[in-house]
Amino acid sequence: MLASGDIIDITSDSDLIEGFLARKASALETVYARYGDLLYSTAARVLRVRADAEDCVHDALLRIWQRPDSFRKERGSLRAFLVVCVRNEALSRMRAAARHFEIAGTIRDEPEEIDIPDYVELARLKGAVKALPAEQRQALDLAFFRNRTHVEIASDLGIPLGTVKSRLSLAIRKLHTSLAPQGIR
Amino acid sequence: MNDHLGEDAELFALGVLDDGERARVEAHAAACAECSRRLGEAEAVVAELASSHPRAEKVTPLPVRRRGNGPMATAAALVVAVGVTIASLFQVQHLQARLSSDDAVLATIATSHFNHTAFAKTVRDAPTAKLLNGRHGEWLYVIVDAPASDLHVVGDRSGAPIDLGIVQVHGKTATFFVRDPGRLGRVALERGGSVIETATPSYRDE
Repeated sequence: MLASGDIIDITSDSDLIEGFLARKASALETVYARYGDLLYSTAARVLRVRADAEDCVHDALLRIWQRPDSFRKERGSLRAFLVVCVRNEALSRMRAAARHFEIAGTIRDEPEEIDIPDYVELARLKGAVKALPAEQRQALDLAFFRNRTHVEIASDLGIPLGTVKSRLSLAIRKLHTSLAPQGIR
Repeated sequence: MNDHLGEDAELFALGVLDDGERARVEAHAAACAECSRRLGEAEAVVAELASSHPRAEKVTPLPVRRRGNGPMATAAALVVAVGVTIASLFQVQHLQARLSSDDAVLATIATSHFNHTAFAKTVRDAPTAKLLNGRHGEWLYVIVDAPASDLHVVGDRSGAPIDLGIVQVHGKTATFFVRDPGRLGRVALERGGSVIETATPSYRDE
């Protein structure tokens, strides 16, 4: 069990989670060192401006650090939790900017492609995505790769909001079922 | 616990919910082990997508803080981390506050298409600054995250430097706005006749 003020050599994910929940400075350092690149690129992909992405990651990590109760061990992967937190923060900023400055036009390219884009590199992931029904792939494409909200997707496709929710939920759950046996971080 | 998250777990992980819906998911998950598990599964899938989605551009890694050898080193690292974060937060707030308070400028910006870029510092003590410009050269706006009263905005037009004016201090920031500067090749902030940072306006329709 960790004691306040301890300096520990964090190597495993479980140690990192324990250290993070205990608000260990060393855990925050390790998060930066281990996941900084991934978190930064996740934010940069949404915000597209380096300084904005850096601000986003710093602010998101500080907020999480100040509220360690936001993560429960049942949630599983700290890495995945952090990626989603940073991405959600980046999406909030992007949408706020779009509302304020009416630059949403830059992200409103009408999706014509139904196939999952080629930039999904990992073969197993690509295969799992391609195995989804076309309507679920389309919804996933709009949500993840084009950063659209569920309301916007419903409007884009002209289908009820409930249908969009069901398609997205099913897509993610099927992907988890496909990927989990081979290991998912 | 009643009213579990259901589909909202996957929607949260995908980032399609609005801020209010997101807050409700977070509050529920903090108190519900069952929904935390479902949320964690969805987050794992999204993280896989995020980590396998190639980077659109070369990115600079975050500064990696060296592991300390003792409590003081670690405490110092934390102070640096928090300091940088707070500085960034204040920077954004100042920029946004300044932007919001200047109605005339905001009206111009909000009703036109514009591009923006950060100034690149040529001297270490140059303040953080951003440049916004109308896509057709109809206006140019500079905002400096410091109460710097001695900065001149100099534009390069066809190789000739033009002193566009001096920034105005507003509280903790300084700004400069000019209409119809035309298309400039480069914009520099000068202090005492020396360039301290530069930015290149973009006139592309993005």
